[in-house]
Amino acid sequence: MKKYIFIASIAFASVSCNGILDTVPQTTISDASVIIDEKSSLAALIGVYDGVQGYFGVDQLAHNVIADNVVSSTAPGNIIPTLTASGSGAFDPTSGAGYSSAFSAINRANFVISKTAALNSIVIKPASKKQYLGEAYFLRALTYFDLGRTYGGVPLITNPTLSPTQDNGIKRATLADTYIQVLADLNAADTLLSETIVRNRANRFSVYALKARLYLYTGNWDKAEEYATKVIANSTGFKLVKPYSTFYTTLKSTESIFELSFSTSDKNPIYTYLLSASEGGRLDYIVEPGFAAQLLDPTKGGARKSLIKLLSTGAYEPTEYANQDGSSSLYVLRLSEQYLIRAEARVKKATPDLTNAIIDLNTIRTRSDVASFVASGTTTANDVLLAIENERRYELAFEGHRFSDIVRTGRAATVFGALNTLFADPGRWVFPIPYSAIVADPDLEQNVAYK
Amino acid sequence: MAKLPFIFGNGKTFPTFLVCKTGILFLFAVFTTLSVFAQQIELKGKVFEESSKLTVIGATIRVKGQKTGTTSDTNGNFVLKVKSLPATLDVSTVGFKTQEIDVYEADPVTIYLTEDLNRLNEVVVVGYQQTKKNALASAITTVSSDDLAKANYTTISEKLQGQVPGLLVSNSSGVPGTQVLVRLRGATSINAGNDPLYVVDGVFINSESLQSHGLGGQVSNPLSDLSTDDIESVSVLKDANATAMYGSRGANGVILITTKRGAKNGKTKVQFQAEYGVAKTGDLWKLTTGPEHAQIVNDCWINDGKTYATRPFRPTTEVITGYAAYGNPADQKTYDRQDEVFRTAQLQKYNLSVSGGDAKTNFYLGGEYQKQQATLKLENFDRYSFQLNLDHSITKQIKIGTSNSLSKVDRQVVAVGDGPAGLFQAALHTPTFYPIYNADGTYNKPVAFDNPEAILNNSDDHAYSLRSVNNVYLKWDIVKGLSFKSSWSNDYNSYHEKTYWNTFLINGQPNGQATDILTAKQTLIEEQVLNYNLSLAKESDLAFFLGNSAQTTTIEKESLTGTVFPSNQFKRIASAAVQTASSTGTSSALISYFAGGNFSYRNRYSIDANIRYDGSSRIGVNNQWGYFPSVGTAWNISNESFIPKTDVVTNLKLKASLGYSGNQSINDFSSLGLWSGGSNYDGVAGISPSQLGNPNLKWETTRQWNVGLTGELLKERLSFDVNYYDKYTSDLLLDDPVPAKTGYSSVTKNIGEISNRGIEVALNSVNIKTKHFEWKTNFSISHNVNNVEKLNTPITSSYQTYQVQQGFPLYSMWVYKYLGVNSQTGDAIYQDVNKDGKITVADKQIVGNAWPIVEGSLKNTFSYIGFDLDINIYYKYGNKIYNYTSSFLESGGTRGVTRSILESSMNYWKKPGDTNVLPRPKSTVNADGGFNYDQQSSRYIEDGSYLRLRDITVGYNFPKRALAHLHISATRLYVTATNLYTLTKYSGPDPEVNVGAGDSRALVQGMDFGTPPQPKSVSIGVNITL
Repeated sequence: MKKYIFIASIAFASVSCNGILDTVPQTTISDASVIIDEKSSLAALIGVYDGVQGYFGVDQLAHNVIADNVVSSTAPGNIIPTLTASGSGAFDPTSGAGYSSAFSAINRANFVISKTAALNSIVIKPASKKQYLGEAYFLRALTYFDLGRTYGGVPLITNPTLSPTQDNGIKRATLADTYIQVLADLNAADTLLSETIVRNRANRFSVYALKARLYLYTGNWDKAEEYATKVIANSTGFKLVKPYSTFYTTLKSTESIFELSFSTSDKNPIYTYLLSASEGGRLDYIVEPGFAAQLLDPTKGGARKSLIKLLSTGAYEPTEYANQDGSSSLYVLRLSEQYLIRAEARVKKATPDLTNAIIDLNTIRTRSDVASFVASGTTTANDVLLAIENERRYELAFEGHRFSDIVRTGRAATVFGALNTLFADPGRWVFPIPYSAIVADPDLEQNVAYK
Repeated sequence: MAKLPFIFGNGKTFPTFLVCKTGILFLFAVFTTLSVFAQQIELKGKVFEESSKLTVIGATIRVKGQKTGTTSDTNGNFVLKVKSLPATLDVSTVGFKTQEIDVYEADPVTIYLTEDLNRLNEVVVVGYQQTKKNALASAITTVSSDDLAKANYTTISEKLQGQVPGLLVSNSSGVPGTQVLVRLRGATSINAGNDPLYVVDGVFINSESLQSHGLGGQVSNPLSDLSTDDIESVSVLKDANATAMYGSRGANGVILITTKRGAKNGKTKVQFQAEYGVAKTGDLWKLTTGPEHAQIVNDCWINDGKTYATRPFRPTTEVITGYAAYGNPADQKTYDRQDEVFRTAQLQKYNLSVSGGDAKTNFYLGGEYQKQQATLKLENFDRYSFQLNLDHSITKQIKIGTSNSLSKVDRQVVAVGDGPAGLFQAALHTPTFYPIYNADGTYNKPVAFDNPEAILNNSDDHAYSLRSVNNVYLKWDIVKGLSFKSSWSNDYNSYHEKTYWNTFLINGQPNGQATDILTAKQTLIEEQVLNYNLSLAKESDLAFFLGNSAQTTTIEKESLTGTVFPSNQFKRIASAAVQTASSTGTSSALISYFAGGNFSYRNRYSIDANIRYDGSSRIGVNNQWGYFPSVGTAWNISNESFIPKTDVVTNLKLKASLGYSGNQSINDFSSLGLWSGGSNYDGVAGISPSQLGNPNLKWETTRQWNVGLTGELLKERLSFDVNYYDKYTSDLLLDDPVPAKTGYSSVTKNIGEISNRGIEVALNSVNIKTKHFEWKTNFSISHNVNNVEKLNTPITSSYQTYQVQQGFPLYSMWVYKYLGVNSQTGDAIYQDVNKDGKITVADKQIVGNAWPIVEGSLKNTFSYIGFDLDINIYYKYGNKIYNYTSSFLESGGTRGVTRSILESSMNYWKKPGDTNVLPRPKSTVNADGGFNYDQQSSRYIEDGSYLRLRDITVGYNFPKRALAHLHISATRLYVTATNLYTLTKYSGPDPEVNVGAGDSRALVQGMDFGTPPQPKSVSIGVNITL
């Protein structure tokens, strides 16, 4: 018999393995270690611009689509008829008009405002601190302004979000209160920012220009005129360019007060909605045929006919954001708008100044080679206002102004109602809040017409 | 025997006697050979199998009362020495009844073993556990390679379809090597993944696609890296008692794949297989002719209230500013694009394996080359795979071994659907009236989609995967019954995607674009298990196991993009004017301790209990460790003395189990509040908050109980396995939507509960068995009810047509309920749920889901002398399909000239009184707020039930005698046909399509959108064994 006996001694190492659970993210950092010095403060501020890029294009496009300058390419001839809160129908179903991405930008601005303010002068130069804070206040103002004109009043959040429940109970503010918040932020930015013009970063002139627009929307005509004048008066910094197309074929032209820059590595995606298939787009929307005819009319559009391009199918596409590599800027504040704001304010102010209003209007018409508006003895203030309204339509054609312009003057039932009876109901003069935002927020009430 | 010196660990309740990656293993073993006794009488003999009279190799022959023994050699012969005569020999081997033979003289003995059809006393190894089969209390289905589908399906998951009750397998596309939806006993999670855990030879392998580059709903399947021919068996662990051993990852079931190993003391076996086949796509979508398209679009134009003068299809001479003219309807021609993108596809497959072994070493060496085309052009799948398995006994107690599979898959790919660059979608969605080429011979690209011919001629899109799954182990039988196994594994998986779009393609506009993305994922695992099996008196057994495992997973990704190429001749990024690069990575780790025990008493009653303790880096710091316990019990009723031993009931076992398993398939670092880079502006690097933190994040836990009855009746001619289960998942790891005002969209939280309850039945019968003819039937049917028991906020899918809602199953379709057409106005009627007279989002409701009520298979196998016939039928009943293709294309002209229109759309309302028609073409809103052709309508939700004759295989085995002089031991010729016939009411080309299956977290399942249908194929092959 064979017998094996083995003697074995085993020693097992008792090594703690728990260390391997402490994995560290490689492309992210935690909340605690952001915005600690000048460099990180700038990085976070740049993140706010990135956030504004994220909402602004969609918001501008949505405003174009809901109005009568642009129509769906599948159903030309209709003012966009199908906008519903669920996103069924022709509108971008996932983000509405950029509601949630706007709040993402606001949260980023809130972080910069609260954390940069707390940094001492050892880690950040006082001038940089003032500038970064001022820019963040301006961007927050811009975002709340756009939210207000799009949806009506929105919840006003001014603290950075650290917990998902900290804003519970904050309901929608009124539109008036939303605009008060915008003004407060603009006032703060006004004191913090310098007058050095950088056309794709906020400065004091961007604040003046947005204030002029805010005062126009809130009916403070004197202030609107005052702030538009502050921009126009800086004739070395700001000049209308000629021909008209120069402002969008070159980047950061002298006409630009504030534009959002894009590049081939940080693309502006708006061209994909507007360009034809052969140019790499989807041509979701085309220029409304009637409006195209007006732009082509030398007595109306003049040089602004360059904004549209005839396709082989007979339809027209907008060309303002036509850089196929995604490098087109988005125009937020432009000098010509300031002239038209001042013209309108001058007509509407307590002691109307039609003469100077018409001079402002004609400055814009002349630039585009359109014959001047000539007042006759029978010309009324309303005639001038209508001329300004039309001029705004041509001049700011695809920059998302038309819908808000008609709504703020109370004329949406007249102007849009003829095309789509839904607009007879003033409840429809705001966008529906996206369905996904409503279900996720018990404090958020839908606009009445969309309930 | 000496006691084992355990050194107990540090604070954890389990002895950390084992080692992790960072640790060091000290193992000293000294073997000493002591004494040798002389023995006197030599006995010779030979072992045969009773029925076939073939020799039995490797049978163990022992002399009763002596410690000595031997095994039979390759010819069945054995020699051993006995002290004295008479002696009693005890002859045993796996699968045969043990024989006792008394030997009185030293003459050669002949021993006949009879097959043990009742293999319940076999020791089975399932995961970490070694127990006798009849002591198992778990619901486990094992499919051997012989029972896997005979047809050549590319991935193992496809081969399992219908074979395992409770395992829902649904192919998603007709392209080989792409995603397959696999759900075991329903779905337990919303955001943390629903794919089972796959384990190949002890290695937890990656089953998540590494594909980065979007291919329009098509995702590669990492399981297709594995050759199906090297697989010996697949065990599917279903209940908690079986899956609790896999702790935090067991909740979706575990699929254990065992590859082939050589037989010890066997003759070296060489097997060669060659197969060639062709495949064709059946019917495609039926589109309108050009004139029909024009007619319906013009009708829609008028119904929208626009003027006749501006209608799109009018003579091109009628020019009106801004209003395109496409010519009169009658002048439109019709161009077919669909047939252009499909082809007769070819399959070639060659497989060579060599296996065998001697007394100490056994090996398996397999190699495969498979070249498979999809019927959709530009899609090719080439797999080269290699398998090497080796086991070697260093001593009688110490065995080492290794399993290795190495494979390379070269794919040519193309985007298929869900996007303008998708080949199939471009062919299907471009209106038929547009010519394919312009008059000057250039590609006509009239709508958002690429020109399909341009894709066919210019696409340059490839993906290369490299996979290495390796395991080495050392098994030490310390003393009888006690063994220790140390196992070290690696799963390396890389996926390299190279794409170039020239200027003829949308993505190449305006000056060409190329991307090059390399993703590599590696998992390293160590695992140490101690097993103790003890046979007690009175046929009672006791088994324990105790173990530890640690693993780390890292993912590294590098991507390069080049734009602005000098011309279409330059394709590599080096030539591009603008080059951008990105590099990123992530990692996770998991540490586990586990233990279990099984006690079976008199082969009648058994009870087992398992527990696993897991720590994961993905889980919040406050809850990083979790326990997953389970218990199970089984009662072998047929072994009770009060049950008479009859041929009617051979075996009957009742089993029950209860346990907990977990799920942690969330993103790495989900619990942390994070800021990310990449939020750049104007060339300056920016950062932004990207994730809200939740330090309290913990495991998703699934509680499951199972009761089952297994039995064999009528002399084992009929066997059955019936299980009822109840799974309840709580603390769902959910991306819970947060108010938009916070600036975030969601936070990962433990909220929500999901249940799955169901029943599974498998029936196997031998209907006829004569000397020459055999007919066997396998039938399976399973039923599962999935329900979201608790959810705070409904979650809407990205398509806006699926919603997760409390009280409804996952994959529920959320739309306006279409009630038909108002026969007076021709407008669509939708159900006004809240009765406010308006159709608004509040009227959307859940009208169906993608789950079948029942699904299963019926398989019949016949054999007659050398012929065999295998007929496999798969069925699914009661599931709904969201026909997204028809929601786009059965559009009643509302999409004008931008998309094609289905022929079925022509049956629309034309005059009052028309019934059984589609609504009148009209894109504008109706008075009630509804739209005639709203995409989110239940009209596009169809019954997806089907019964498919999935495959038929006819084989012929040449008689052994005819082959003997060629030194060939077996030759089989076979013909296989797949997808021969489908019985379904579904209107699309294929009811087995699904655009969402690629992502195990996808909320959209059962949606047909631009996925190529499955082809019909026929192939012939030969199998030669030397």
